[in-house]
Amino acid sequence: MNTIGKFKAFGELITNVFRNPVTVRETFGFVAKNFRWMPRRDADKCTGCGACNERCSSGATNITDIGTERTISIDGLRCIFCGRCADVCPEHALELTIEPDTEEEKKFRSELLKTTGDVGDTCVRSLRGSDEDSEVSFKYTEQINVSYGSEEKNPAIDTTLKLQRCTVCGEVMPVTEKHLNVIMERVLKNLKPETAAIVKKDMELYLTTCISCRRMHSLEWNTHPRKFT
Amino acid sequence: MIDAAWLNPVIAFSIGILLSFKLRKISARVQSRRGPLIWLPDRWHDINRSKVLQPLYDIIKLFSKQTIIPSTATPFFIAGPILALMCAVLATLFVPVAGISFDYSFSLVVLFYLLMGEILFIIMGGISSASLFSAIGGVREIDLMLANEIPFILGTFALAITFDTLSIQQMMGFNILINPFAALAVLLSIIVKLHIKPFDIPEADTEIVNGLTTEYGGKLLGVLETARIIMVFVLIALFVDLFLWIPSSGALAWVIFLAGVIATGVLIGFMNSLFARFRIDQATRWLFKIPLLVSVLAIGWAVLWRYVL
Amino acid sequence: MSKPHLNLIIREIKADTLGEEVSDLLEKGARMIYTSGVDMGVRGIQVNYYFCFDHHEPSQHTILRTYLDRKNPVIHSVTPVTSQADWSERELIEFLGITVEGHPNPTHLWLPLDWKEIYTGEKPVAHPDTERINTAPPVKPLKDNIVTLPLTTIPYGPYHPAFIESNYLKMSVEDEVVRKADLKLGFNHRGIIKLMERRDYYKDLFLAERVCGICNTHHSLSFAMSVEDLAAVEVPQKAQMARTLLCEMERIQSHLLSIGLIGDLTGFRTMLMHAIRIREEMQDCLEVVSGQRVTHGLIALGGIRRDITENQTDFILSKLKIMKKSVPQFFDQCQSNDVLMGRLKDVGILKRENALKSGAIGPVARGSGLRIDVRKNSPFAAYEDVDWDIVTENGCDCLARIKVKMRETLMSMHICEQCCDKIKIAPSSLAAKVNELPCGETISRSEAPRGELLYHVVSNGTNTPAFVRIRVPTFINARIMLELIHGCWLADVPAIISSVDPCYSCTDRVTIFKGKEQSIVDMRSLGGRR
Repeated sequence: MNTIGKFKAFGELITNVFRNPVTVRETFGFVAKNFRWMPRRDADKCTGCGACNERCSSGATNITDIGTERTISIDGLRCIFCGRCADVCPEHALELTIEPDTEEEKKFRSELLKTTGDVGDTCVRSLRGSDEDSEVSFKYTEQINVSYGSEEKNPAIDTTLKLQRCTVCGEVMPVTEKHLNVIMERVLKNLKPETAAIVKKDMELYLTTCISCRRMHSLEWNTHPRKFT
Repeated sequence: MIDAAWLNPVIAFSIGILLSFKLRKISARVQSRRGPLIWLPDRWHDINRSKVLQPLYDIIKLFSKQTIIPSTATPFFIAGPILALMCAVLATLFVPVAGISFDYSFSLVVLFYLLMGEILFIIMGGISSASLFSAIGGVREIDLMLANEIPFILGTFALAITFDTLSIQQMMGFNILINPFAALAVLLSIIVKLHIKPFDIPEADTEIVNGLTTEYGGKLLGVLETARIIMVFVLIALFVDLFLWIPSSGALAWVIFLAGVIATGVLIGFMNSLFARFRIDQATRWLFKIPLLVSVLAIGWAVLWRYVL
Repeated sequence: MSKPHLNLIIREIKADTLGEEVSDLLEKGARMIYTSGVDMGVRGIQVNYYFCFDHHEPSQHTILRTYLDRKNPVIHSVTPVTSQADWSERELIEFLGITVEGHPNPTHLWLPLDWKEIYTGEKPVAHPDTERINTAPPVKPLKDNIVTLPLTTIPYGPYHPAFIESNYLKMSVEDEVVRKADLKLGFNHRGIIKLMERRDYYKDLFLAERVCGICNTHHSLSFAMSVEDLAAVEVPQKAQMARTLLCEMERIQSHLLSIGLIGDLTGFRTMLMHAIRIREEMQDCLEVVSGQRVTHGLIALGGIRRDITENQTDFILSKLKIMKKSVPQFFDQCQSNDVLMGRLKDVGILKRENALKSGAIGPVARGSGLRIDVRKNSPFAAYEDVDWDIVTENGCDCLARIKVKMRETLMSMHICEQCCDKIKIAPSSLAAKVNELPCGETISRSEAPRGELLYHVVSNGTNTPAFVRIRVPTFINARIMLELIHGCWLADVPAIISSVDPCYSCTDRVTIFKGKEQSIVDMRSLGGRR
């Protein structure tokens, strides 16, 4: 490289003094729209089927049956944010985005978008170089800290669902009531109304019975599983 | 009446803190970072609570910490930093701050001894910790000093020849016009003495973990840091006094002095952020080549003006 | 798009004829890439020697296989024949207890220095009340077998500013010139290849990603490629393009980081900061495409997990446009710094013959003028469909290695642009379905930023692999790094280390998981000296 080029390169370095610094505070930089964050479970949608527990590669999801209740929880410290649970969830109850969940936060987010603008549909906020004066961003950081506080609050979100009791012998089955209801709805939805009325009774009986009772009574009830396939 | 020069150490410490703040700020800005802030807004409290100048805050922090002395260390481990600080404080008395200092007809020679003594006491303290990294750092420091003292002494003596005196007060002036070679030689050796970037070989953090100060921590490191900050001021002020001083008095003297100090500080700050580190053999070779040549030229120039023309 | 089929020959031989066979293959021009051992139960200990010919002929591989007696596993060392087997055989000694006869330097590399006392002598007993293992220092001083020269010994590590990850480099120094050096690894050992045998293939994919943080896509991609090869699945074109794009984006960020680190370790911190500033653009792109900055998790078995939309490719193209300006400017700034260039020039010279003999890979080999690059030699993903060429330099020193990285960054940006354009017009199918995995075995190789990566996956027909063996680039290059350190200045050691850019996290592949305070590991025993 010639001498002029060398001096030019040095000059470029020195002129950085007169430009704005590029460093920004944490949580002020760019965040993509599909950024994966802590999995949040929609407690209304979750049926406690256990698909996420089976596929989780780090053992972060936990399913515990105590008494007549099933608790589904996510250990935030074990989670590796791979998003496999959200991929396999049949109810689409899991989400790994950094989207705010309360109304207040949503309103706040829309304000944020107005002040900063978004790039394409891919990034949600880009506050580069404007952190000095934006009170808005500070509020946002505080809110994130409150909703995902790591010290006081356990980041895991628990969902508790009732387990089904066997209608014949009264024992607790390892299935939640909600899961069975959802299965039934889904099967009946595809049938004609007149068929559905017939099938519904048999199916209710079949699903709400534990395995041993099913084995004993399936012939007399005529509810062999082959009937439904 | 008490001489105003007794205030010199306090002034040296406060301006030294400003200068080392400036060094850090400039290298941060060249690197597109923010760097330390003079004052922090209230809402930044959760990141950083230092509302004072960061170098001062560092020293306060170090003095509030526990000092750990390695079991292998000799008593010189404690004596080294304290003696170094004493040398640095004494040196400030002989460097004119806006024209105020103690002055004798031999003050330049006293200053030489004090500046060299400061480095030697730091080496003594570091080596007595029996750490391998300190030992290597000490060897490097001595290598560098041997190569570096010659241009420094020759450069200042060139002025002594011109003015026919060894008193600093009497040779002060805008001498960069009278002897530019001497100015260059002294500036280069000041850079080496302060361990500015191409020459931070004795304290290379990625090679030998901060060299001589590896084993220091807590209050002793605070003492060393204070000595370093005073040295930054002493050397830069010496350069300003010898080469950039315009004779004046009162407030105008302060303005001229501070302007000179800040200009030199900014120059050194840019040096610090624009270069990689020399290897020790490259550094000594370079020092024996260019600054030595420049300082010999300075002596020749001075002799030419004094005796021939 | 026709991928040249992987040509893998597995030959079973007697243990006695091993030396002849190996030298035979080496004479034919093969590179020995790895040696692995597997305990196969009643069949004995299986030892595999992996050779590849792909720098002469595309996709040619040979595995020499021999079985050893389980009671008394003895094998003749091939290290005197080729130094490429050095570390692999030391691994066999430590992890499988095989006696390797005639190995020139059979010392510890991974295990703690006093592992014999720990594992074969008295077992440590937990205290009955606290259930903790006694952590008092042993009465006997630990035997230090690393360096025994009567010179000043400088330790680098386990924690040292020159290393980002912990390892232990010990050097005997005579007047700042290194006379002897040795390396001790094993501080990050996580047992990943053993964990993989217990999890199903889908979970292994995420585990493979966590072998290394900085080249994670290449790890999961290599694993996915070997599983796809076993299942005989054709990956859709869009997925291939997306994989290529992701690999190249990862290469850009890895190379920029490593170039910056060279600056930091030679005292030029400004260079590091600017490298990080430019790299941040690429990290934003990776976040937009994959959803995470570090572990991307975009690779699935048979394809990719998420679609790459047109908006995303536009975002990448706009960022690449910015980088096209800033990256060459940054490289100019580096190369115009005479002090930095003086530190790197003629330092750590690896001659072309030596590089070939010691089996150098990645930028280390290409800096010595060897045309070794898996992307060209045995192409994977969509590298055949894009326009690019291998970057080589003939300087053989640290500077040449950095220049290779700089030019490769520019080349990768060129590839990324082509991929972005091609993804837009590719058919939209994302992943082929992997239904059944028959018994069988295969290897897959990919070009990680630091060199070639080898995965050997054996399936036994169940949902978990029978065993997985991983050879990472640093495994070869770190040994070469040690050879380069011999006889150089102490001040040049960080420069050499960063120009080779070792990644010990890859090489170790293990973590001690402190569960519920029951498995307490004596950390002191891991660190060599107390």
